[in-house]
Parts: sequence; structure tokens; C-alpha cells
Amino acid sequence: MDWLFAYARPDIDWNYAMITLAVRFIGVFVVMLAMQVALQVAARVVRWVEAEPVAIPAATGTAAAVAGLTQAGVTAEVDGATAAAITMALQGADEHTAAAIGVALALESRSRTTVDPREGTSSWAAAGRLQQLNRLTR
Amino acid sequence: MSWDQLWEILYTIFITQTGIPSITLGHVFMWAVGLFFMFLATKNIEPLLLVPIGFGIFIVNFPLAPLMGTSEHGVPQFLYFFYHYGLEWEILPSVIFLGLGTLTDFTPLIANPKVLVVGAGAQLGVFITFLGTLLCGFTLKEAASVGIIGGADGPTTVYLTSALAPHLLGANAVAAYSYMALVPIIQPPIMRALIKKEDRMIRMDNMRKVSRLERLVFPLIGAAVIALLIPAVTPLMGMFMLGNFMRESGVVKRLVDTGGGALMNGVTIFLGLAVGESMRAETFLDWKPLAILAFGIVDFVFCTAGGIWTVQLLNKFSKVKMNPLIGSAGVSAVPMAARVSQVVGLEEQPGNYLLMHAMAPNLAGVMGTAAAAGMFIAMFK
Repeated sequence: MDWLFAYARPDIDWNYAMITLAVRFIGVFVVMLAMQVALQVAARVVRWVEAEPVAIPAATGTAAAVAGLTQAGVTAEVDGATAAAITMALQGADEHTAAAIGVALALESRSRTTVDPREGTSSWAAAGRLQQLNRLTR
Repeated sequence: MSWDQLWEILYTIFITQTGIPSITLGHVFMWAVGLFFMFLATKNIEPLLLVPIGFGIFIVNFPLAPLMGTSEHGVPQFLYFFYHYGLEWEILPSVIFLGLGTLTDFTPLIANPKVLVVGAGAQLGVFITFLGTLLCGFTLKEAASVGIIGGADGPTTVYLTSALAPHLLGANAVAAYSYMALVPIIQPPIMRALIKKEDRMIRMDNMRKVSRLERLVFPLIGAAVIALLIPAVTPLMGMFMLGNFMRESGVVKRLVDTGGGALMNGVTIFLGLAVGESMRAETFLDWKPLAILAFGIVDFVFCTAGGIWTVQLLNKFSKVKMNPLIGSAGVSAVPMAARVSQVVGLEEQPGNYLLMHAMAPNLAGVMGTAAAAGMFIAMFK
């Protein structure tokens, strides 16, 4: 192996050189990983901060829905009724039911009255209200 | 006055007050080097830098020209001011980074922060070259300054070399900028050799939307992390992040326009000139610049490979696969390396647009190179 060091300067401490080389290469990874972690934490905080405005529910049901949305990672700004509908869809309800819930909640929040799920002429709305009521009372 | 006296006066003027008798073959060679760089610039190869560098080499290699020395009263001569205050005081690279910050959109990196490690992996060549140059007789400081060439970041190369091995400034800067210009030629064969065809055809999902607040917070986080972990390189990265913060704040458009426009253009002239000035025949003509050019290409090859290997490694642990072609963009030749990933990706599969995905490791490479430079500077403090 002496041939490898034939041209190297005799004053170089190879132990130091090799160890510092390895440590500093790993150090670059550590810096980048620290940056990555900091960015990911910041992204979560920013998304949480920016998700705040949608958490102004029209009714108690929509507050829960919006919370569900936030947990599911949906951050787009939506009104409470749509939020509830999306939440139900995320929880496995079919899209018609989710749409019905959205309509029902919108009507409910506008009328500022509590709607009995047994009332109403639309079977979709009735089913939606019933599911929403069941979900809220679970 | 006799003819003899007149002749003596003319002879004295010729000998002592003109540069003609002092011209050496080395000077002539360096004129040729300067002219060659200016010729390359006319072919659109890094013209913004090669014009002032080439002219700097040309003009500084005329003997007796009062440019880079000191006067009889000890006052630094004209071009030495740029060199001394610009490079030795580390001002010019930092101001260039301010301008680069104003021109950089970090959105791809913020959307996909896990590629930051690709920027670290792409520094592989830097450390391999460090070892190689040590074996060839370079000192530790010289080896560190040569190694950073592979990071493909001109201002960082100039910054580190000015700090550790100023006598190699010209060779290192020229090697860095030359190989950066050659990225489209150097990288594609390495990419094809290291990445299987099916992997080169991987399509990547659209990136998530990044809010303005995230873009605003990023330079603050970047500056804080760098300043805490590698303070040696804070002048460079601090200015970079300042420029980016000014851009994202949206309230100082005039400063952004100046930082990324007139100021950066002006500083580029002085940076190029100062680099050219450092290439005097008396100090430049040595075996080391030739070795640096040779090691530069090795450096670039390993940095490109390091980025690709890092993406391949990440893919082994990730459900969502990345196209390893973006790994080569981990060298920080922004945006040229990202464009190379895009071009090679499109050649493999039309419609596979990788540019924005490749910009993320490309920007990570800038930070990785700065981190490596900071590690080296810290090593000698």
C-alpha cells in the first residue's frame, strides 16, 4: 500500500484526515436531515395555522366535521356544510349521502333551527340528517 | 545631447518603463488562456463570468502593469482592491448569494423536503476528491478547496478557496465554472449507466401546493439551521436566505429587483475580474492547476453518482418512488442540472416532466455544498 501514499505530503496525519473526512461527510447529512425535520415541523404548524379560519362552524355538527377534515389532512377552505359532506365521504358514506348531508346542514345553518331527521320530503335529505345525527350522538 | 545619450535614455525607458523586455513565455501562455476563455464566452459558455475572468487573466499578465501589486508607498493597486476587498474579505460571493436568493423559488424543495438528503449525498465527490488530492500531494486546505468544485457552485467554491487556499483561486473557480457549463455533457452518460431503464421511466406525482406563509417561513428556518449547525458559512447562506425572504415577503420589490438585477450584475463583473486577476503566470503556471482540472471531472462524476445513489437508497425505504434521474440534480448547478434531468426523462418517456421535481434536489444541492464548505472551513479554525 505504500505506493498509494508515494506522492502524498509526509506531514499529513492520515488518521486525522480519514476520520475528519468521514465525520464531516456524515455531518452534511445531519445538517440536511435537521433542515428536513425543521421544514416538516414548520409545514405542519403552517397548515395548522392556515386551517384555523375554516374552524368557524355554522353549527355544532359542522364544527365536528371541520375537525374531522383537519385530522384527515384536508386544508382547503370550505364552508361548514361542504366540510361535513367531505368528512362523511371520507368516513365511508357514499357520495349521495354526503351530498345530502351537505344540503341538510346548509339549510339547517341558514334557518338557525334544529331539523328533526324524521321530517322532510326528500329521502336523501332524511337519510343524511339521520346519519349526521347518529354520528354526532355516537 | 549626443546620439549615445539619446540612445541610453531610450534604452533605459525601454528596459525599465515598458513591459516589453519582461514578457515571458508564461505571460504569452496566460494571454492565450484568457483569450480562450473569452472565445468560449462568445460561444455562450458561461459568458457572464468568462468575459470578465478571461479579460482579467489577459490584462493582469502584462508585466509591470500596476494592477495587482502595491505602490512604492504601500498603497494597493487598482485591481488588487477588488481582489482584496471582494474575495479576501469574502464580500463578493456573499453578495452574489443575496442576488441568487432573490431569484430562487424554493417551492419544490418545501413541497418535498425529504430530497434534502439528496443534496447531501451529492457531495460524495467532494469528499472523494479531497482524499484523492491529498494522495497527490496537496495540503489539507488545498484538498478541501479543490474538493468543493464538484458541488458545482461557483460562489461557494470562490468563498471556500479564498478562505483556505487563495493561491488556487483561479484554477478552482475556472474548473468549477467550466465543468458547470459542461453539466449537460458530463451527466447524461452517468445517469444512463447508473439507472435502469424502468426506473428512468418512473412518473412522479404532482407536488403539493405550498402556501405563501410556508415560503415566507422557509428562509428563516434555513438561516437558523445553518447558523446553528455550520456557523462558518453563515455569511453565504445568511445572504442567500435574506434575498429569498425579501422575495417572498413581497413588500420590497425594488430591493428584490436591485439584488437580483443591477447589484448582482455589477458584483459579477468584479467577481470575474478578481478571479481572473488571481491567475498570474508567476503563480498559476504549476502542476497543481492541471491536476485540479483533472480532479474536477472526477469530482463531478462522483457528485452526480452520489445524488443518484441517494435517490435509489431512498426509494428502497419509501412507498412513493422517485425517479432517480432527479438525483443527478443534487449537484447545485442551478437550474442546469435540473434541466438535464428533465431532458433525459423526456427522452426516456415523452410526457414525463421532471423539471420541477428535479429543482428540489437542485436547491438542496446548493445547501449541501454550502454545508460541505462550512464543514471544511470549520475544520481549520
